[in-house]
Amino acid sequence: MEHAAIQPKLSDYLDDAVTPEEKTAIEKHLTTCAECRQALAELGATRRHVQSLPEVEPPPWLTSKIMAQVREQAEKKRGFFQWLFYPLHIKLPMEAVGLIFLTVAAYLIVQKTQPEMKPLLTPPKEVYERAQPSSPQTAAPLESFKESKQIKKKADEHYLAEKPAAPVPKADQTSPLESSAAKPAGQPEVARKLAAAPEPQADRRMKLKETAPEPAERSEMARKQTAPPVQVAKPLEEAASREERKEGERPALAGKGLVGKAQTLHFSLEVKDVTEAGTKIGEAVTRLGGRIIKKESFENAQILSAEVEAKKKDELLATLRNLGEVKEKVLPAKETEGNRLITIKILPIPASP
Amino acid sequence: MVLGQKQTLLDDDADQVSCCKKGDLAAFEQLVRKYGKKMFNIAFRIAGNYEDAGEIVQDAFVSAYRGMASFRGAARFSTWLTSITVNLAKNRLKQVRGIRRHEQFSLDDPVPTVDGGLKQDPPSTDPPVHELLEKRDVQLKVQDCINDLEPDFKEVLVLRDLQDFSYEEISAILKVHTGTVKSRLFRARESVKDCLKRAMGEL
Repeated sequence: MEHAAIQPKLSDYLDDAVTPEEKTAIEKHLTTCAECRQALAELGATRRHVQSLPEVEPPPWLTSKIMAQVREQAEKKRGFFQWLFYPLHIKLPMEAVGLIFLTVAAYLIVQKTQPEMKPLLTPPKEVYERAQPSSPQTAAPLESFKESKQIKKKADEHYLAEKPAAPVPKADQTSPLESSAAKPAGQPEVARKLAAAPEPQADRRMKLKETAPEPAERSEMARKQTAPPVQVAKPLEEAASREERKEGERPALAGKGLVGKAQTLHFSLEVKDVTEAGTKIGEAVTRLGGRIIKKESFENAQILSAEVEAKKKDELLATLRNLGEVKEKVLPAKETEGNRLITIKILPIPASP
Repeated sequence: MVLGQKQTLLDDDADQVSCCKKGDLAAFEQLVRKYGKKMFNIAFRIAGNYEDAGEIVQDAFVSAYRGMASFRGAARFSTWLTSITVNLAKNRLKQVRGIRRHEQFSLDDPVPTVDGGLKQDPPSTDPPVHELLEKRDVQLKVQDCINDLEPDFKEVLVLRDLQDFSYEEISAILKVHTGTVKSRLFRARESVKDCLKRAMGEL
């Protein structure tokens, strides 16, 4: 090995970090090269000097200061962690308690405000009773109005649909809502009008329904269809529409149920005692193997929703006829199988003129 | 081969490290106590300043704590920690040198002590001061000579001759080839040798 190549290796040789071959070569060279021996000696001395440097003692506070900083870091980390995850033990119950509190508060508020809302929805009794002869019955044509909208093909029903719209402006005035809430003074006027007519308005409308309408009247009716919504029979109408909506849902709920394709039969029954009739119909339905789905009671009327077998429908109809005057509103489809949904509206017999 | 050796090395600190990863601060404190002094000495010899060394070591441990999750145990914890400390010390050294170079041009500055090392050296605990006067003088000169080294050479010298790390360990700490470690060490020793010869006349 050359002298020039040996010198850089002397540092490694000092650390014994050379291969055995290199070591042999270096040692062989050292025996002959005084310069290299000197260089090695100086390197060794330098290393000793460097190694003689004492270890310094770190400041005594070093560990505690480091740990203080590390804890600070850990707090920061944990702070964020706590914010997200740790408090689940505490946060969830707290949230649950908050939710319960909110629910209870909301319930109490609704409870408290509901009685104040009620008079707005249902007219006061005496006003309702005064309007009584007309209101329950106006509901009937109004509902047929709605139905006829659905079944436009049926021409005669179409006429019926337009008819009830005629007395709309008048009906507005007799609205139990308005007369009770806004202008009780308007009531005598209505009464006068009612007196002027030989029979209650609603009855007149019923008659219109029965007789074919004049073409001229019809066009007028068509124009008036845009008139403000009829409020006379609002409670009943609402009930009926609710009923209809539910019926709309029912087939979906029943899936491939028997009522799926069947149309709901609507009956109007006029009886002397509404409550008694309701009970009797209930019994009759049960007897025929059907069931009462829903029973809604109003001031002087009831709406029964029942499900009976199609075959038993006529029997039920016969029972109804025994109880009072029956008006079929949707012609029954000729079905003998499956169950039918039947809505029976029980109304008191209108006072004779 | 180097890798193979590393894998066979068992890390004495593996338990503490895994505890630290779970957030055990006591385990981390054990590591601080175990390596604090060593890291301080490395930082002190590289940065050449006692106060700086304290800050470097604090930063190194905090940085290690923060990076604990990313420490996968490919190297030993001590190697990893030393690597952090050396890098921070080197960066500090570069900063300080930049400032000093800038300040050299200021005429208003108070005259700096001739050998900064005297000021920076911690008070000696050795009792027979008169006996050590000469030795101490040599030590100061050695430290000055080390201080004059370029950072890349200085760190190798400090790690090898002062901290007694093996070539492989130094290679892992500095992430350079063993051959580079050897050549840098040779040049560092040569520089210090020449420096000491100039300062003391003979070795």
